[in-house]
Amino acid sequence: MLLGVSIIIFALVRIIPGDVALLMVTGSQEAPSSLDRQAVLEEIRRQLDLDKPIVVQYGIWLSKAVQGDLGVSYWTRRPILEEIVKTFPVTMELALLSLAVALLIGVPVGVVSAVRQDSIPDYAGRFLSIGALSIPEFWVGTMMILLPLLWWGWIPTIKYTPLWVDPMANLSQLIFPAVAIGVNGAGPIMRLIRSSMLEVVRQDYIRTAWAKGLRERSVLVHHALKNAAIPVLSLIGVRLERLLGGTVVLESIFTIPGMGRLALGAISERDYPMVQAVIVTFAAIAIFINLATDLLYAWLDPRIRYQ
Amino acid sequence: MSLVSSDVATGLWAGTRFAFVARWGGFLLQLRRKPLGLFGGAIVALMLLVALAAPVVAPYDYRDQSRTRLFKPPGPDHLMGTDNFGRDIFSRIIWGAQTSLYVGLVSVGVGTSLGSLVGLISGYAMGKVDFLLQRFMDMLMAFPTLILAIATVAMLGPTTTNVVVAIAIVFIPTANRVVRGAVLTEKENQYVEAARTVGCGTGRIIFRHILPNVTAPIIVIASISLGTAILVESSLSFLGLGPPPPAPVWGGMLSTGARTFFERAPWMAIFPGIAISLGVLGLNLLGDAVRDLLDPRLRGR
Repeated sequence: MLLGVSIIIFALVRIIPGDVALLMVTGSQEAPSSLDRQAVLEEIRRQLDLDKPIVVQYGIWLSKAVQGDLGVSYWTRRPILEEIVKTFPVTMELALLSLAVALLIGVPVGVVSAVRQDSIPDYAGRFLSIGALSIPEFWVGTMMILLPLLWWGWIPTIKYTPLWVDPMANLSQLIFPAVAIGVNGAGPIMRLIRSSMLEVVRQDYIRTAWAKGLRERSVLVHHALKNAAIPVLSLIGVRLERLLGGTVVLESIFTIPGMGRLALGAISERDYPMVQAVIVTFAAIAIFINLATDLLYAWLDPRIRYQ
Repeated sequence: MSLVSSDVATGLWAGTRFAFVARWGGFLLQLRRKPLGLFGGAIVALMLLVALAAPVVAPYDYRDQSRTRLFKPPGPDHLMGTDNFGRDIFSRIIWGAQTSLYVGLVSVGVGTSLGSLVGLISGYAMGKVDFLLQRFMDMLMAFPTLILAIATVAMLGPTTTNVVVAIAIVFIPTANRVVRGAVLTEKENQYVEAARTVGCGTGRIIFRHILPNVTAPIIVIASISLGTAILVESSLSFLGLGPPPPAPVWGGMLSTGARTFFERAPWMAIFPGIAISLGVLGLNLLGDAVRDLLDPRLRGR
């Protein structure tokens, strides 16, 4: 699977118009004038293996990649793996934080919406869920910086502090982009929780719980929500993938040194190995998330068994 | 003998056509009972109208620059103010509707059609063809939506056509999955067997018999995808990977180039954002209503 993905990316990345060797020698896309420059150009091409056919280039890349060597950046000459290992936790932290925000908003609103079906809170919640889905996260992020600035002349600190250096400072910086992404992700979670709660609250065991005289809170949280949450889990996998897309955009607004910014920078510099490695990593994360949710699903719901 | 079989075929065809007409006639009647869907429809209709009539409606040209009216706040001359080049934001938003709708409609059209085609062939053929096509689709699906679009545009270069291609690719696997599922159940029906008995070729069975019966899921998936398409388009433009300037694009109006001026002219950031949100909201509401009406099984999801 990942092999196929890497082939597609490898082939596609080479279609990027523009020649990195040219860019390095002349700083533009014009052919060098002097012969001596021409020789430098050929030399760079040979060093970067750009003079070999694509299939050979792929072979070289793959055999190194399985050994954990993703090559070096065309520009900084630093190992790519190092860059990815450095930026990966930042992006994952942001994605998980956004997921937490999405769940914190989505689940309570969804439950209230289902329990008070067809009431005003229900309509408000349903409208909110579509509305949340329609507002682009980069606009929410922009407004988060702009509005406090206009109203109170205050800017959230746009400086990244690693989690292990100062956890509080780190969280207070990441929480803004996380909310911007999370609001967008909350919509579908609200809807699914609502529809699956609606189904669950009509079950016999819920009636039994009510009949035992349990308090509303206990019935809803311990009996209903526990079962209603199972289908939501499969959605969380899909959501987390979308949140990953959101992190690319928000990282660029809040200048967070994550994989998204790494990718965007590499794209503008035509740093093929870097673009390739980052996108393959994104795909690998997505595939891993899918697998993990499938397994978690089976573990949480004993009625599902994989053959 | 041949007379009888052609009668059967005509009857089958008429039957499918009848179902199609009945479904669409009823659909328009039912939409009236969906207030939110109607509201969404109104927004979309307004957007379409504005986009089509942009040259007439927009008070200024979207390229009109002027040094004398930089950063004008919203007022009677410029309803939404002007930007750092002195361009009228209201006019740029009106023209932007054209770009967004064009990119959205074409990319969803192309993506859904290709995805449906793959789904039809894959679902009907089964076996090796199905296996190969579906594995390829799985690979496309492995990418997070926006990342796939960013990667594609980065590779092809930021032009309007390439943005359309990038977004279309995103929708291929989704449409494929939905249509393939529908075909799998649909092809077990007797009319397919009848068509085969009568001697219809594979192409004819797929496109003239099965396709009319899986239009509902295709329409549903296309209408739900539209909002997403416009969101992806504006995210790309925001990152500087959208249609190149001076094309008026909503996402581009919020991009890094304009960012430095927001403190001085907040209207530059506020109005394009509202335009995107409202447009996508309209498309999402309409898409939801369409799904509820055409596909009762998915209702409430």
